[in-house]
Amino acid sequence: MINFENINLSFDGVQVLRNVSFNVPPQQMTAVLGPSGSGKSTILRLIMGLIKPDSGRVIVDGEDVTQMSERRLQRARRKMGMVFQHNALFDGLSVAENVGFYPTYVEKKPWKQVLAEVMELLADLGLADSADKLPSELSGGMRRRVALARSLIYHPTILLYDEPTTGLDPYMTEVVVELIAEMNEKYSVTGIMVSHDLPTVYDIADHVVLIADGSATVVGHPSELLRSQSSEVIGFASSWRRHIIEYSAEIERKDEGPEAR
Amino acid sequence: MRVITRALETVGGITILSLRVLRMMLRGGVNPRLLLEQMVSLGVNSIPIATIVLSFAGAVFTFVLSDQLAKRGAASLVGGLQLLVFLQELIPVFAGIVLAGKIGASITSEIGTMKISEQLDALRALSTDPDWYLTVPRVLAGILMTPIVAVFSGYGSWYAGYAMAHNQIGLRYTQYASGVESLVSMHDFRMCFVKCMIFGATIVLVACHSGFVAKGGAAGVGKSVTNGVVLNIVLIFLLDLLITMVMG
Repeated sequence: MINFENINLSFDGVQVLRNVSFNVPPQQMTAVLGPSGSGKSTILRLIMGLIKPDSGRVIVDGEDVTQMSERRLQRARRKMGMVFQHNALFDGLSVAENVGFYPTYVEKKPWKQVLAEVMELLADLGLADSADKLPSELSGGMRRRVALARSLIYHPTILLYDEPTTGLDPYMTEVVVELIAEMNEKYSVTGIMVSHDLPTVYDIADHVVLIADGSATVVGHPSELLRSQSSEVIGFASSWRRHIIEYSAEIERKDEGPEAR
Repeated sequence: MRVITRALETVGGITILSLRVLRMMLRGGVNPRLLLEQMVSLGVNSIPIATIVLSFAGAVFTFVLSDQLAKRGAASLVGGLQLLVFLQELIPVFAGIVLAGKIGASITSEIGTMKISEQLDALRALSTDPDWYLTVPRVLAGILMTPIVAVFSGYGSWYAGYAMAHNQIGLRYTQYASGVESLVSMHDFRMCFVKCMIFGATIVLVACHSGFVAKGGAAGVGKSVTNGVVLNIVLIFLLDLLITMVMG
């Protein structure tokens, strides 16, 4: 569904991505891991067509988004939703107006109809009482849910999450992770999540792609992080070894069922 | 060399933005709701400050003029001369400077903040062209509302001038207005409105462009606001000269 083919990208003469190639399987959650500044968020921006690579192709549903004009990209983006790291909510608009942005301005639906859809979605996300509030009046977790709602309202088939749990407390992290898993299942979306947060990756990812030193290594399931023979994965896994062992064990216990405890 | 490169980049950027906005406007791509919001925000809310500034300008101008003309037995020309100068020059220029400071700064800081907080990327991710959503309604509101701001502030300067002339040399209203017919023509009103519309469009385009190129956090946005306001004030005087020479 989404293929990266030999992507090279530099910013101000510094090469961020080097011959990056990998595939994202449809209707599953792929996590992009890697150290800070390794170009993880850049992967999402390339899929969205917000930036163009120096060379290579990004194929989304059979179309190369790197060669599209802004006009064609606007059409291509209708099947994609993105939750930004810092939410990027429109701070001059209320929660309802933020969530209803796409149906109002892109689908050009009447506000009354938009509001009904918005309220239904906000109720699903436990935000019904916050419809008239401004984003600045919400907590971090609520803002994240509003950002998610703004992407979900037009039922995209691809959802991109940039560090969805960064800056949230453990309880809110759990809430957001459950919400993402629930929404992915409910709407059968192809999800790509950039994260530092290993527990989150273990909880909701089906595949892991590791970005290190500008290159991508496909790992497979998160539990395979320790078994991989790739030097990049071994290097990354060594710094996370304790966490990976803990979560691998937890996953195995869950897989074996209650009698294993 | 770097200054020239930056100047050329700015001119090129504003020209490209102008052409994109013009193309969108000609295609009818203006959302009425967004336009109305901007007409209120940029126009209606600017009327009081522009009227106050132009009223003081009218009073000062008449204070200087009325005494000199009365000494030369030409007191009946005070109102006509005041209106002529204000229509041709001072209403558009003063209104332009007030709007450059008020709405220009506000637009640049708003768009600049949206840029550094990824809100412009979020607009694009939501299949929305930031120029269509942010620039087009503001430019159209600038073109439509600057002449309206000029009408209100023009009235302010006219009556403030009359109050000053009456107070200083005891001029009655009929005497104050008696020179208008011989000195002021419809051409002066046309020139005033043409200047206002061009200044309105320029102020908004420069302000939007300054916001779009903002970078580097809050300090970067502040720098963009300053650059935008300074460029707008210089452009108002430059365009004023060009329009006066062409329409003169």
